[in-house]
Amino acid sequence: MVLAEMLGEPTERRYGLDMSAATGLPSGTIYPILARLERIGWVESDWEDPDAHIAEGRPRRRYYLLTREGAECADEALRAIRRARKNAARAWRVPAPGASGAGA
Amino acid sequence: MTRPAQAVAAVNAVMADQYATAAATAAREATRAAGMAVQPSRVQNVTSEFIGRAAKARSGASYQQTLQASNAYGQMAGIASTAKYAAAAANATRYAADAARKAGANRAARRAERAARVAAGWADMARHRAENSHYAPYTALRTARYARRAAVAARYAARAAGPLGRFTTSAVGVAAALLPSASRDRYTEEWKSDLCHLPRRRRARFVAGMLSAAVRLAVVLRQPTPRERR
Repeated sequence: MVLAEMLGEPTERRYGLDMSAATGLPSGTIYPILARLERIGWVESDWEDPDAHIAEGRPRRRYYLLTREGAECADEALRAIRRARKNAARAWRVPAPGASGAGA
Repeated sequence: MTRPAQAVAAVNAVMADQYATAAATAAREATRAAGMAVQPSRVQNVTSEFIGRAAKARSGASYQQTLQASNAYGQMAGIASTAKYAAAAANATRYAADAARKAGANRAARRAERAARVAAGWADMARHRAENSHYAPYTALRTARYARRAAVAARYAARAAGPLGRFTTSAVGVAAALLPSASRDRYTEEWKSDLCHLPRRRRARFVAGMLSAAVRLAVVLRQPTPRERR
């Protein structure tokens, strides 16, 4: 979900709470996922411009951005997941009674 | 409070928080340097020997040089570094107190200022004693302790000035304590930023999620990265 959300607009920088709101995942799930993606190099992060957060009177945000390698790998990974899901759904589909080639 | 005054208070609260983080970092370094001054594995208190020999050298008296340079200079460097970092912690605490006062947290600011004064005094004493007192290593240990106290006072001042309550700030501290020390400051700031953005009634839910995230993050961040594995 996080990867799909980031792939939606790969050049947009997102922060944790924003990602949490967009994906519907709780913050307890978002941060470990982002940390994992950052460690494998699919996502990079940096602090926001000091002027912006000081002017708004809040601690600075950490923005996450998909890397080029991350975008390619994430796209591939998502396609593989979709394929696997489709295959799994086909394998589990119950054949209609009397249909030809139904089971062994 | 009028709207512009509120904005000024919010900006000062952020500044106080940043200075408190700086004070904590300096205090940590002071503690590490004090550990270098008094190392259990080394001949203790080489300062007295060092001073005694320096006096003999000045007066022209003969003495045998058996003291290893690494011992003496390691200890001296430890004491000098402790003094330097403690002074930095005291300065950052003073700035945090100033920002907290501007944000309206007068009592906490006064307390932080007092702690900064004490830490600065001990830093001066450590710097002075490093070259002419036998008790310099022990002064370094106490200096580091007062630097830590100053950093704690700065943190209290920042908390009193900030928009987050005591429970929320403590929960962030607990969650951050689970993480490896290199990542603590980063996630503390990230979570505080998210909490400031949330309405008060949604903070409790976020805090619960944050605590569970901290446990998982602690595991993830301690695992070697693919590059390290190679």
